[in-house]
Amino acid sequence: MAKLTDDHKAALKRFRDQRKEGGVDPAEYAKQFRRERLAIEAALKNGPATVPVIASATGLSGKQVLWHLAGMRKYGLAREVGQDGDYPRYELVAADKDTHGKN
Amino acid sequence: MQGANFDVVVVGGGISGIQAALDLADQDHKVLLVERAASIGGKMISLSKTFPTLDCSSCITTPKMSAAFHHRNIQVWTSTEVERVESRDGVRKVHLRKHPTYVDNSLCIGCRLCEYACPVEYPDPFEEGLGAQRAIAVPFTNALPQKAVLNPRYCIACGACIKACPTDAVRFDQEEERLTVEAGAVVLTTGFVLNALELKREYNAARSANIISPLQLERLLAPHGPYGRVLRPSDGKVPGNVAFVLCAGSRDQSIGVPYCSRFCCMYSIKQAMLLSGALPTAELTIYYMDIRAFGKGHEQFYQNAKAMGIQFVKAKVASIEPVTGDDLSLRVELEEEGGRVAERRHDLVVLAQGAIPVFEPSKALNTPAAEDGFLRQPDPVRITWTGVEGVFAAGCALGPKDIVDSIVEAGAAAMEASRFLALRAAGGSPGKEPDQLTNPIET
Ligand SMILES: Cc1cc2nc3c(=O)[nH]c(=O)nc-3n(C[C@H](O)[C@H](O)[C@H](O)COP(=O)(O)OP(=O)(O)OC[C@H]3O[C@@H](n4cnc5c(N)ncnc54)[C@H](O)[C@@H]3O)c2cc1C
Ligand code: SF4
Ligand code: SF4
Repeated sequence: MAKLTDDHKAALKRFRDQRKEGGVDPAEYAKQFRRERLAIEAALKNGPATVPVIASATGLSGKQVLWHLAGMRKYGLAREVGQDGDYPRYELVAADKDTHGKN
Repeated sequence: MQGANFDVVVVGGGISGIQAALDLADQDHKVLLVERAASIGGKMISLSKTFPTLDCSSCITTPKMSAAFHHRNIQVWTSTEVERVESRDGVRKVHLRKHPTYVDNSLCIGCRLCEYACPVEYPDPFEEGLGAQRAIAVPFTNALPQKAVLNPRYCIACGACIKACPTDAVRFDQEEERLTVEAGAVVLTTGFVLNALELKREYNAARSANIISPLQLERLLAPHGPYGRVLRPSDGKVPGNVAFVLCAGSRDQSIGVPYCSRFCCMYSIKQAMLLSGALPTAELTIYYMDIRAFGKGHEQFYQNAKAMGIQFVKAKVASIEPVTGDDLSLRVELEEEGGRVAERRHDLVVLAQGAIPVFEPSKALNTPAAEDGFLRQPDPVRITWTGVEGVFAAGCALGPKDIVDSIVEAGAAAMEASRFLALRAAGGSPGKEPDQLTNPIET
C-alpha cells in the first residue's frame, strides 16, 4: 500500500477546499452511514436475522437496513442464509484475507 | 482535443447510439461517440430480459458495447455531456462538457482496489438507488470502459483510494473541461427518462418504498440485482401480491404527457411473466386501460401471459394509499363492471411511468421541439432528419419506442448521415435539403 505524497496531499486539500466553496460537505452523511453500518453489524453479531428483526434492534427503517444489506452483500460482508416465513435471513461473513470488505 | 474533427459525432451511448456508431464506422467514417454517463449501454444494459423474446438483455448489449468500444473508427468519450449542437455554414460544432472522474483513464487498470478500500457507500444509480455504491468505483460489472469513477458528492477525501491504487491513477486535481469538436454530421441518440414516480400525487409514491418504478423492478429481476432476488424495498419481504399500474404517467393531459409511452404495456407483461418465474406463488395483477401489443410477436406474448395466470383487470386506478403492514390499498374503477369502485390490496406496486425526452431541442439545437417535446421529424419520408442541416436522430430521442425499432431507426439515421456526407464530398448541396420538403410524394 503506497503512502500519500506531498502532491497527493496538496491535491486532496484543494479538492476539499473547492468542494467546501461549492457548499458540499459529505462528512455528516459519511458519519451517519458508518453509524448505521456498525449498528447493523452489531445486531448481526448474535446470529442471522431478517430485515424487520434488524430494524427493530437498531431503530433504523426496514428500507435503510435492506439498503445496507445490499451493500454488505455486494462487498462480501454479509450473505443470505435461509428464510423466516416470507423474510430471508442474513448473516455476517467473517472478514478474512479473501474478502474485499476489510476496510 | 479542442477543434478535433470527426466525420460524425453520435450523441448518447445507448443502444441507438451504439448501433448508429457501428453502422457509420463500418462504412469507414471516423466517429466520436459521446456518453454523459460513466459507461455506454444506456437503459438497455440495465434491463433484465427483453420482450418479446425474453433474451438476456446484457448478453445482447455487452457484445455491441464492446464492438463499438474497440472499433478502429470509433472513439468513445464517457462522462462527457453534449450541451449544444450548432449547424452553420456547412459545419457542425458540438459543444461538450467533460466531467472530472478523478481517475486518469490511461493509468487505471480497473482492478477495483480503490473501491474495496473506500469507506463510504451511497445509493447506486445503476441499481436505481436500491443497491449501494462506493464513492470511488467501477460503475458496474460489465461497464465500458472498466475504469473507476469518483463521486465528489460522497467522497470524504480520506485518501484511502490513492494508497490502494497500484498505478497511482487517482487524480484529485482533475477539473471539468469544456471543449468543442467539429463534425460533418451529427446523430442525436439521447434517449428518454421516466417522469417522476411522485408525479401523480394520488398514488402517494413519496409515502411508500413499496411503490416502485419499472426500472427498479428490472434491477430486482436482473440476475445480479441489488438483493440477489426479488424482495420488496420497505422490509425485505418476498412479495406475494404484486400490482402493475399501466399508463401511470402517460396518456394524461393533467401531467403534460398526453401521448402513449409505447413500451410500458409490453415491459409490464414481460415483468409479470418474469415475476411468475421468480415468485411462483405470487398473485400478479395488471391494471390497464387498454393493452397495446402492436409489434411483431407482441400479441402472442400477451396471450401467453394470460395463459400463465397473470390477471389482466381493465380498470382505472384512482388512488393508492399506504396501509398497515407496509401494504398498499388501491381504489380501482372496474371498467367491465360498469365502473364499480373496489378496494384491492397489494404488497408491491409498480407504476408504469411515462417516458419523456432528455434533450431540449430549443436550447441545445436552436430548433423548436415537436409537440410532444421530443425532436421534430419534419420530413415524413426521411424520418431520422431533425430539420437542421446535417443533424439526424434515432431511437427514443425521437419518441418512446422499443429496442427493435430503436435499432432499425439507428441504422436509418446512419444511412442518412452517410448519404449527407457523400453528397457534401461530391460537391452536392445538401444544404438545400429543406427544399425537398416542398416536393412531397404525390399520392
Ligand atoms: C422499465 C423498462 C423496460 C423496458 N424493457 C424493454 C424490453 O424488454 N424490450 C424492448 O424492446 N424495450 C424495452 N424498453 C425500452 C428500451 O429501454 C428502449 O427502447 C431503449 O433503451 C432505447 O434506447 P436509446 O439508445 O434510444 O435510449 P437510452 O437507452 O435512453 O440511451 C440514451 C443515452 O444517451 C445518453 N445521453 C442523453 N443525453 C445526453 C447528452 N446530452 N450528452 C451525452 N449523452 C447523453 C444517456 O445517458 C443514455 O446513455 C424498456 C424500457 C423501460 C423503461
Ligand atoms: S478519498 Fe474518497 S473515494 Fe477515495 S477512498 Fe476516501 S472516500 Fe473513497
Ligand atoms: S483507480 Fe487504481 S485502484 Fe482504482 S480501479 Fe483504477 S487502477 Fe485500480
